[in-house]
Amino acid sequence: MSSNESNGGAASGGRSVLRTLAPLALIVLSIVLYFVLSTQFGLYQRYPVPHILLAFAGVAWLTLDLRRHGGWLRGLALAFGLFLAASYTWYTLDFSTYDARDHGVRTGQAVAGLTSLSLVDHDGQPTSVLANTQRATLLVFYRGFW
Amino acid sequence: MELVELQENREAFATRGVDLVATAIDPPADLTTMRKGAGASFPFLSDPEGQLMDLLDVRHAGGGPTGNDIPQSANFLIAPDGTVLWKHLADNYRERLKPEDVLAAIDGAL
Repeated sequence: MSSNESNGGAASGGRSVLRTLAPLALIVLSIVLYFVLSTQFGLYQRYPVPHILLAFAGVAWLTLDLRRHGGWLRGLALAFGLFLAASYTWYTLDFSTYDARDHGVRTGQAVAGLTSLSLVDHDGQPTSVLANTQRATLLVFYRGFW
Repeated sequence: MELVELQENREAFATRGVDLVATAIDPPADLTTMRKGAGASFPFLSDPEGQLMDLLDVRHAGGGPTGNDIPQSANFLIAPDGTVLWKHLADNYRERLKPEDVLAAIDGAL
């Protein structure tokens, strides 16, 4: 192999890698952008349709790349891209979502049992939920340590 | 709201006459870890049976990592007599309230 051919091969190999990495980057970018835009600006928080479309555009792009050029690495890239896009879609539309219909407790309603309820605190000490009889309490339900 | 943000805004809540209380299903030892991680000075209450989440109707059945029940992300402003003054339920836990929005809601409710 002459040095010219070898250089040409390296350049074409570089372009080929870029062709596969670009759609993968698009998928990752669509996911990262979602977390930035939704937490900072509340954009498409509940149904991140543009982000999902963008991620699957990346998957389509990887599919085209594989069909045109073949190769097991491109197949692997497609499998990984599909996994990312599908996981992201499942996470946002299903896994992290729950039924939050407005349940029984209404604003302005006194909740029976709340004033007498006592739980243990972080130190294991029994503590009234509404410990202060003079001040309001902001109760924050946290989903936990996981 | 993140616990850290709550802590950072503690004074703003205090001047409005509001005490902060966080609650989760975890045992006290885990709550202590969480509390220290957030640098929080307000109490964390352990609700393993879900008594408090049931009173306020925020049980998310099977929502935990092992299919256990955990609460929805929710915030309630409660008067000393147990009256709900304001509440916010998130329909997914990706949603985070901003402290300034909560403070504005409290100003409207108190």
